[in-house]
Amino acid sequence: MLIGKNRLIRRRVIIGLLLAASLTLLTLSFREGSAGVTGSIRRSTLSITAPLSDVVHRITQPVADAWGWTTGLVDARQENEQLKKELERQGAAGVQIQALQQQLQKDEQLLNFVNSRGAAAYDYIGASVIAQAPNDYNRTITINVGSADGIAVNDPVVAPYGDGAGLMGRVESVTANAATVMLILDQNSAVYASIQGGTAKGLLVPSSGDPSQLNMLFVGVDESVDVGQAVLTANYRSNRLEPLLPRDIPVGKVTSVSQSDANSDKTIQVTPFVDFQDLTDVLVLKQKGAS
Amino acid sequence: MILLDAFRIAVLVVLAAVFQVSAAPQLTPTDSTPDLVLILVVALAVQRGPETAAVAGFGGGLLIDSITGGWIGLSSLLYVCVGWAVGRRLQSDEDAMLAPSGASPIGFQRELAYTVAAAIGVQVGLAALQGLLGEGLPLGFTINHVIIPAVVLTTVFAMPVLPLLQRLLRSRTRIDTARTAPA
Repeated sequence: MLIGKNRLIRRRVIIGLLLAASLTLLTLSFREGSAGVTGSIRRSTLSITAPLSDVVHRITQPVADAWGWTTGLVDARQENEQLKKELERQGAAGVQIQALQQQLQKDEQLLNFVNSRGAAAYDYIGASVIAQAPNDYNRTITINVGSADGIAVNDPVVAPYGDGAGLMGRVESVTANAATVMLILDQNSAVYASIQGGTAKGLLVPSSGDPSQLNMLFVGVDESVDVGQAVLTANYRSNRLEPLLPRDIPVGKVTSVSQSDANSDKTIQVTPFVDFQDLTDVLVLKQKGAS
Repeated sequence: MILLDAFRIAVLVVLAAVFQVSAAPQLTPTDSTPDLVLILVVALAVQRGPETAAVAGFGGGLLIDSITGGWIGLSSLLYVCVGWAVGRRLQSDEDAMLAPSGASPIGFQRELAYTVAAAIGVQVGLAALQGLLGEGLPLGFTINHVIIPAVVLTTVFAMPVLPLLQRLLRSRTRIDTARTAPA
């Protein structure tokens, strides 16, 4: 025998205890959500690891930028020989310049949003994304600002797109120095929204067939909705929509509209404006006057 | 010495979990990321045995679930199972028994094969448990956009990371192989 009997028993006890602890935590997490013991564990862990996550994110950002620059260089080679030589000549400076240009573009987009009429009623807090869920089951990100910066649960969060910003989610839980944001693609997310330039309103939830898309539910067949129309947040509270989001924040655009005789509602698919694979800088919105 | 070793493993677990959620999403083109904690758990199962791997997996899973707002205990459960399963599989492995200190007891290729098998197991387990918890995704999407990218990325990252972990965990041989078989 390789291992003694006592050792075998000890091993089984350890594994058994760990499995029991995992199942207990899972049960508590399922029953309590973000409250109770599991909520405390989550907040404590997030508080401790947030500074480390921030540092790791800052360290790896140049690597990601360099990777983006390299892939851009490959494209440039295919498209334009002269551009390729210029980029090669620039070397490391090129990486830095391109990264700064991208950063500037994102900052300009967020600034445009802040200066827009719709955002006038809100204060804003800038944040960087420091962690992201490793799979598509729970679509959350972690940002480097928390209650010490004025962030509260259910605050809406926007990210750059086009010449402004689009809704990306809401704050789900918060610690002193970090906050977890539930993206609008998360299966627990629901956003009450309206069609720009129309009267149709409905509930935006992730599509069950393609979780990178949204479906707009409860839009009656008599409502007029066309492909390409923008979808904005609406000011309404429903049973599924706990947080009251600000109105008129762009969410996405209608990509398909269909209806069947058997269904009393239209089937509307919406593609989000925000690129969820490129989330680095975001804005957390605060209603002016809110604590 | 044991405390120092435990501290070193704890640091590795924290680093693996933080890198997995903070750095890896920036460096990969898909929504999935390489499972660095899983790679560490497999390396520990090979180098230190199932108990250490299971404890590390429990801690790593707890960290990931806490940071990302997932179901707490879900990742821990899967990583504990992986640590136990790989360690248990190796328990009867004669190669492991004969391994010299510092070298991978089973060789790089088999360690990589265990990592791939464990990655598939964890991804399938995760999909099944998420389904049971009411948060499952469509099967086709799960396979194409979650399981396959995660397994491929984990395999790619495991190629340089496993030898690195082998060096970092060099000081001791597997606990359960320290006692040699009777002649």
